[in-house]
Amino acid sequence: MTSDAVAWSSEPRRLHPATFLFRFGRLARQFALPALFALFAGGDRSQLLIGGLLLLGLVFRVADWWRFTYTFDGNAFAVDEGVFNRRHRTVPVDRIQQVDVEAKFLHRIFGIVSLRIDTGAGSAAAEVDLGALSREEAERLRGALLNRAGRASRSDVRAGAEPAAAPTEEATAPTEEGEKPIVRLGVRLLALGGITGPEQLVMIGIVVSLAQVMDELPDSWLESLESPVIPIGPLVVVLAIAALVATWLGLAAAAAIVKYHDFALVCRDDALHIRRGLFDKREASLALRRLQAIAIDQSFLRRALDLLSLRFLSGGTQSEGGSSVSRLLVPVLPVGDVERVIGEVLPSAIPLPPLVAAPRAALRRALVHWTVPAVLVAVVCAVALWPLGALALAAVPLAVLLGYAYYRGLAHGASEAVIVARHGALQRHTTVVDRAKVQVCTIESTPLQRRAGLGNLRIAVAGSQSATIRDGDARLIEELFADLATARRARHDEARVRREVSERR
Amino acid sequence: MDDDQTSPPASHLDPQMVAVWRFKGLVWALVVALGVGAAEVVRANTIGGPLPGLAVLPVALAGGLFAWLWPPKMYEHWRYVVGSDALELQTGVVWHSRKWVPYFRVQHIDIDRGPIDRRMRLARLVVRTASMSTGATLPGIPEDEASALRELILERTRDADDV
Repeated sequence: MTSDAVAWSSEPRRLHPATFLFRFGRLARQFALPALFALFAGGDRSQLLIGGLLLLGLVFRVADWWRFTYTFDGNAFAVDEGVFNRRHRTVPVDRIQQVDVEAKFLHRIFGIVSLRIDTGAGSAAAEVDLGALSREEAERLRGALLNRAGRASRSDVRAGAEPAAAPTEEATAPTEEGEKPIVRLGVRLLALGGITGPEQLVMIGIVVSLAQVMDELPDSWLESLESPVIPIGPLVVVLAIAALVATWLGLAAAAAIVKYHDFALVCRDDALHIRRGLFDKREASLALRRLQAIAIDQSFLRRALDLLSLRFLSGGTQSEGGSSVSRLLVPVLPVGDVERVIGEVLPSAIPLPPLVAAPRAALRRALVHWTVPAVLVAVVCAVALWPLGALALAAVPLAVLLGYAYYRGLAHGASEAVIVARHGALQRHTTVVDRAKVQVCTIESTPLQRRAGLGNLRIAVAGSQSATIRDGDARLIEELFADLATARRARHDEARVRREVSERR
Repeated sequence: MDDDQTSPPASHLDPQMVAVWRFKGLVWALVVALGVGAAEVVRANTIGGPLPGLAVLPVALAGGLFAWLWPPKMYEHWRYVVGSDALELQTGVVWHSRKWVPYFRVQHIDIDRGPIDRRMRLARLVVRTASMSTGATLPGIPEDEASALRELILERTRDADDV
């Protein structure tokens, strides 16, 4: 504590001067079009006007940069900003949930990084967004913020590494002292993850924009396609489709590799760190005691391949992109590794409790829930569009299958330390909640559920996350609810111990 | 109620909540009826057909009846327990819900008073935890008891913190 206070004298600091360059760059981009217009079309006066505005913008950016200062005294992080309208913001250190350090490709040229702090105060954006810091400053700050005072982070050792000089050096930085690697993802696994994962969505975007480009192409080009050099036979069609699929999958794999290149999940100084990225490097950090729950997602395809993805939920608001902190996501992991990884992060959770399937009554409910709408739509289609509409009836068995799959997906388990809830027909979502993190419990039931002896139990943790046991046996859920309500002693102790630990440090 | 046997002695909200809910319900019914009426007038003027009023009356009647009869049921099913370790709520006529909010998780408590609440000398107590999606709201607490209840919960929150 004291050593830290010394290291972090409360003297205000400014962002790296490069900030202002980047901000001015953005400004210049906004001005680019009018400036060009003024140069070629406008008279002397409009050129003067544009130049003047640009200059004004420049001055304003410099003032902006000059006014933006941050202070850290070991207990609270404060930001002062604003040229005309001043703003002073304070973030108490014990409220910090997650710290992100990001080095965009352009930033890496200058050897700077940006740092974001999330406290889970409810806004989607990070509470503090420091646009540009030197790497060593960011690492020092992060170390101090995550475990206030904590052990001195080893950033000073690393300070010599010049990111601009050797971008690959930081990527393959040797495991530091006290750093425990938990997951590393190789290129092969990442490629597999990309092919089976959400990167497919990116591909759809690319295809749509390609289609638009095709629309723009001159007709003559299309006509040349109609009189091809090679005669189109079945073999050519098959080959073309194969090539298309291969390209598709290859691009999806490449997208995953670029995004998660050199992925490492490590544990250092009681905090979880995720490093990733080929061009834009991101490092997300979460103090272990802030971990609320672990979410396991498995798409249909990944279930067949025994793969899954893992998310570590903090009390904050994690999302992808924008100015918020990023998700602590392990994009792809073999099923066999999941128990080990959870054990490293949340040792008390292991062994994971065996999952209990939902009662039979839930099967009836699932079937009704999926089939009735399908039957209604299909019948309407069949009657209205007879005879072709009768094809819609084929949706009914499909809905029955989905209903059955949904039932199969429902399960929950409870151990001394965690509660596990699973649901999902094709894509399965499993949430592992640390009992010590439970905030609020809610039992909910509809009249139909009550008649079937079923109910939902929602277990909310800090932040926007909760785990819901759906269509569980009403009595079992009631017991679990009562258990959660009476095991408060243990959790209470837990909270006290944690508080003591964090104060002693 | 089948699940009543497990719950400890529970408090009801202030009986005036029935009036508050009725008032709000009637306002809603009025708004809906006006909307339907406007649609009907437009219909009669453009497409023609029967005189306006054919749909408004049943809608207004049903809405008014519902707004009048439902709040007593809601009141009957709305219970809360300021227990020794947690605040427990039990709500819902059709969709039952039981909520358990332990004191040591309480972050802050708001007392809101809207115009109707003020007129009825009621207050709304909102108990918040670190979970953003779930908080506990006690909508109808007598004005003079609200701050006492808040103090009580805060005191228990403090106790839970100190142990």
